[in-house]
Order: sequence, then C-alpha cells, then structure tokens
Amino acid sequence: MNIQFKKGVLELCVLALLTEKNRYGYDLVNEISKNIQISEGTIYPLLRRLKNVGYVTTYLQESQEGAPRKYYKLTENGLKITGELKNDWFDFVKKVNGLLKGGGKDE
Amino acid sequence: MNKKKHFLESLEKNLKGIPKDEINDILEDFREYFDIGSERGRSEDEIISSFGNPKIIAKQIKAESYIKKAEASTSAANITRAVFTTLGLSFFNIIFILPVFAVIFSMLAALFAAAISISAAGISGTVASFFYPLYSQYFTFNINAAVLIFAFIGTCSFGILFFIGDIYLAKLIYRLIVKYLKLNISIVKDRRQIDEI
Repeated sequence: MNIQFKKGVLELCVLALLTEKNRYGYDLVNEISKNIQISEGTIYPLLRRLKNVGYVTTYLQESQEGAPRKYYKLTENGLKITGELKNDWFDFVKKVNGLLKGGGKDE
Repeated sequence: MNKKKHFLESLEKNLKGIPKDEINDILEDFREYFDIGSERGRSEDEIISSFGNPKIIAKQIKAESYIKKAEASTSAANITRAVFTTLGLSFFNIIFILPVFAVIFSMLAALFAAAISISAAGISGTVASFFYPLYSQYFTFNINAAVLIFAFIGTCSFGILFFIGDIYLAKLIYRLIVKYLKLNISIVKDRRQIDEI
C-alpha cells in the first residue's frame, strides 16, 4: 500500500482496535499488521502520544506466558474522540470515492 | 542476545535529554515487545528489523516528551527545546532566527547599560555637587550649587525611570518570543502527525 495513505490513519486504527477491548502493544501491532504493513517500532511513540493527550490510560496485568504486560485502555474522552474521528474518516472516504468514481455530481 | 542489547542501548543513548524514569519506561516497553515476540517464535533479528531505526524511534519519543513539557510550562527555554528538537536545527533556524535573537538581546543589553550609566552619572554627580564650593574656584563659570544638585538628582531619576522602562520592554519581548515559539509549536504538532511511520 502507498506509504502516504498509511500516514495518519495508524492512530485511528489503534483507537478503533481499543474500542473492542483493552490490548497491549504487541497485540495492537499484530492486529494492524494483519492488514497493513507498518514499522513496528512506531507503535510506542504513538501510544505515548495518545497517553499524553489523555485518550488512553495504561495498567499492568499478569499473563500466563510470562512477565506482566502493559495494557492500553481508552478513556471516556478517548472513546468520544474515536467516534468523532471514525465519522470524519467515513465522511472523507465517501467524498474521495465520489471524486474518484468520475468527477463531480453536478456535471 | 547481543543484537537486542545493542538495539536497547542505542535507543537509550538516543533518548538522552528526557527524564530518566521516562527512558526506563520506554525501554521496559521494548523489552516486553521482545519477550512476547520470542514467545511467539520470532527471532530477535526479525523483531529488530521490524522495529526500524532506533534513532528515528528515539527522535519521535523525544519530540513528544519535549512538546508535553512545553505545554505544561510556557518558559521560552522549554518551548525552544521542543521546537528545535522537532524541526531539527535546520539551516533556516540557524541563518534566520539566531541572528534575530542575537540582535534583540544585544539591543536590550545596550539599553540596560545606558540606563545604568545614566543612573551612575546622576548619583556621582549629585555627590560631587555637595563639594562644589570646595572646587568652584577652578571653574571659569559660576553656577548655583543647589541647581547643580537638583540637575544631577534629575539625571539620576531619569536613569532609574529608563531602567524601569527597559524592564517592561524586556518583559514585552519575552512575551512576544514565547508567542512566536507557541506558533511554532502548533506547526510542530501538525508535523508530528505527518512524521508517523
């Protein structure tokens, strides 16, 4: 996929995945990587930013396999923002699709 | 084993400048990632190459950390660090912004120096005026000692007022600089959205 497309939507993907359930960093990358190839190291700068702006919080939870994992959880504000971003995205995609499918409707 | 250690060390080295506990937190995140990755049968080489360049990761984290700090406290130094770290000390910054700052600061320094000199002249003149009768014989002109004293007190007051004016000017310039840097912060914020991946 074109790298320009990926820029900017990663944040939305992470937020959307967190609305389903709380996840840890590796899990998030794993889910995203199933569909979009990303540079995996960028997930942590991204998660730190989401935490700094208050969209997510973290907590540690034991795992069966080994050391405790850091889970990410959407805050109330984060949930609200995710909803808004999703609407913006769908609206945007619809308009772009309209353009790509053959010019303006007013023709 | 060595490669993982090397990666984490490189990350740690490039993160220098942000708080120690934050660095430890980040390294912990990456260790967790390594652990889970190897539990799922991935080799360290594989994980490291999927991470990308530790320098770029560190740069993104540092920019985020400085922006957070700058937002918490709006001193010019904090904001400058945030702006310059994110933009990188580009050619434009060095060529354009630094000379402007240098000129403003030297002008301010000159104004302060002038105010202090005038005050000092006023004070020494006032003191000297008290001894006017002692050396008035050496002058070819005559002047009333009281006039002399008041003139120098006036000079002194002028110098002090000048100094106070300078302080206000300095405060104004500081506020303008902070405002200018804040404008940059919003540009930087837009940029960090783009810098992802």
